[in-house]
Amino acid sequence: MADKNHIKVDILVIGGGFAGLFAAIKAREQGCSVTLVDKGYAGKSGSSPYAGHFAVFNPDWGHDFDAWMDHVSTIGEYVNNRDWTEMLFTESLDRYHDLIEWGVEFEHDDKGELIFDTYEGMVPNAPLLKRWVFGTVIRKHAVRTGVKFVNRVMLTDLMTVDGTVSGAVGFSLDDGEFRSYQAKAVVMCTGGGALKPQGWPVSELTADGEYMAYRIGAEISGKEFNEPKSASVDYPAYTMGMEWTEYGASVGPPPDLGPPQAQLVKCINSEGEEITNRPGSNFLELEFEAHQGRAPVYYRTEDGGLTKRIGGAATGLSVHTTEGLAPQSMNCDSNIPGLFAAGDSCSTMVVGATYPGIGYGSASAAVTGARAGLSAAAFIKDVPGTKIPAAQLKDYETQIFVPTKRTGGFGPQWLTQILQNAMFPYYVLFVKHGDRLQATLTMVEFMRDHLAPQLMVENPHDLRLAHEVRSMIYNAETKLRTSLFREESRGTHYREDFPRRDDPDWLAWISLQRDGDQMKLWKRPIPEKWWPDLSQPYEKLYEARMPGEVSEAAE
Amino acid sequence: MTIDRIDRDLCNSCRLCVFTCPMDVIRMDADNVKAIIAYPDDCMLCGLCMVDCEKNAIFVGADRNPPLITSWG
Repeated sequence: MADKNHIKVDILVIGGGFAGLFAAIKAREQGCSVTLVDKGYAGKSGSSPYAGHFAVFNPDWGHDFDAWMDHVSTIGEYVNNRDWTEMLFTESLDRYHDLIEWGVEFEHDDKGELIFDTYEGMVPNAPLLKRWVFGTVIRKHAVRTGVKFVNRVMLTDLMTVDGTVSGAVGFSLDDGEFRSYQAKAVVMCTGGGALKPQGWPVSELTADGEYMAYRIGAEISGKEFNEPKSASVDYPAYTMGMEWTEYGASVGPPPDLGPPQAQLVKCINSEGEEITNRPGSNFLELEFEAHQGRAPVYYRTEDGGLTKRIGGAATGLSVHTTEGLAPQSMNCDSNIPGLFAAGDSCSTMVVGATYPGIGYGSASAAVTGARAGLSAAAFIKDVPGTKIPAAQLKDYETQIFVPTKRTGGFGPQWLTQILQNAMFPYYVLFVKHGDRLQATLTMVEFMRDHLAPQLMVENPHDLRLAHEVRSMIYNAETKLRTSLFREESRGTHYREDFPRRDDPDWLAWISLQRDGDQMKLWKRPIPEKWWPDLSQPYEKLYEARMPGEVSEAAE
Repeated sequence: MTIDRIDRDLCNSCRLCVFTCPMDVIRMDADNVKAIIAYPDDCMLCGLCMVDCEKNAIFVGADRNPPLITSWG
C-alpha cells in the first residue's frame, strides 16, 4: 500500500493552524518524517487566519509576571491551570522569536516601534500580527524544513493497534477516495468545536479531532464553558474576517466593531441602559438582557448610531485553550499512547472559565504546538512502528463510506440545521437550566441514535458534511452533559438554577470519557495551592455578577 | 450568506481560492480551467478567497439577510 494515497510516516499532524504548523516544524527539526493533513489547506485553517494578536510575556517590555498570573486567574474564575498559564508566559517569547525567524511580520508604527494592542482592564498588551499573511509564511517555512502537506483530505478515524495510536484514515474531498496515514505518533491540532454558527468564521471547526479521540477512549475536558461572541443583526453572517480586510469597506457593512470584549462596553439594552463595563464581565450580558425581555441589544458606533446585535455567534465553541483532549502532563500527551494534542484541541485550561484578554489563543497554540511536536518526536524513538492489518484498514474504509451506499435517509445539511435549531437558542448553552439541558439532551440523543446513522450523501463534499455533523452532535452532547454536571455558575458557564459559584466543591475541572456506549463524567479537583483566599467576600472574589445570584450580604 | 460571483474573465486559473476556502465552496469547473462557486450554501463569509485572489476576481457580498437560526430575534 505504498502509494501516495496510503502513506507511512513517523509523525502525523492533523490540522494546519498555528498549533499544527508549530508541531510539524518542531518535530521535523528533530529529524522525524512529518506529514500534516488538513481538510482544507494548512496556513488557512481553523481560527488561525483571523488572529490579530500574539500574547507575549516579556519582562523587557515592562510586563509583571505576578500581575499577569493574577489577572488570568481572577477573570478565569480560578479554574485556569496555573502550570499551563505559567508555561504560556514562560515560552511565548521563544515562540515569538520563532515566528520572526521564520519571516512572520508584526505591525510597527511610523517610528519603527512595535505596535502593542490592549483593551481596558485587560492584559496582555499584545503585539499585532501583520494580518492574513502569517499562515502562509509559516507554511513556507515548514515546507523548507521538509514537512509534507496533504490538502483537502478529511480524516475521520484514528487507527489503533493494541491500544496505541497508529495513524489515521479518511477520504479526499477531490476524488472521494480512501486515504490512510500510518504513523508512530499523531498530534491532534484540529481546533475547537463549534456548531457552524452565523457571525464568526468557525464553520469548519466541528470537533472532528476530539470526536476521533473520544471514540478511542481519550479523556476530554473543558466542555461546559462558552465563547459568547455576538454579531450584527443587519449582517448576521458578516464575519470578523471581512471586517478586517481592505475590501471590507467596499463591500458595504459598517466599520470594525472590535472584538466582542470591547463591544460589550459600548452596548445598551432596549431600555437604553448601559449593559456592562470591563472588568467584571463574563461576556454573557447580552444573553442575560435577552432573557429578561430587554432585547434587542444595541452597539453604539463611533458616530453615535446604533446597530442591533445578535448572540450565539460562536455557539458550541468553548473558550480558547479550555476544551479538547486533556493533557496528562506538560508534554501535551493524551491518555492514549502515541496521541498528542495542541492548540484549541488541547484542554490546557490556560485561561480558565472566561477569556481574559487578547492573543492568548494564538500564543497558546504556538506554545503547545511546539511542545507537542517535540514530545511526539521523543516518543517515537522507542516505537518500532506497527503495521495495520489489511482487514482492519478495510473496516475503516467501509465505515467511512456508509453514507454513500445508502439509497434513502437524511441529508447532512438538514441534520445540521435541526441540531442548530435545538442548540442555538440562548436558553440552552448560555442561560442554562437543568430542565432545559435535559430536554435538549433527549433530542440530541435521538439525533445521535436515529438520524445520524441514516445519513445519505452523493458526493465527497456532502460526505464531509455528514462526518462533520456527527462530530457536532457529539460536541453538543458533551456540552449538555458537562453543563448538567457542573451544578454551579462560573465564568461563561451560567446555570439559572445554580446561579452562584460554589467554592470549594467546584474548584474543579470536568473530564469525560467514553465508557462502552455511555459518556462517563468525573471531577478533577484543582490543587488547593491554586485556590483563591476563600475568606474574602464573594463579591471581591467574583467581579462578574450572575442574575439570580444572592449576595452574602443580603442573605 | 454566500459568495456572490467569480469573474471568469479575471480568473487566472491559479486554484488558490480552491485551496484557501475552508468550506470547500469553490471548485474548478468541468474543464478544470476556471474557478466556480460549487457549494454556495456553505460559504461562511470569511473572505479569505477574496483576500487571496491576486486578480480580484472574487466578490463576496454581505448585504443580505439569509434565513438564519439565531439565539433570539
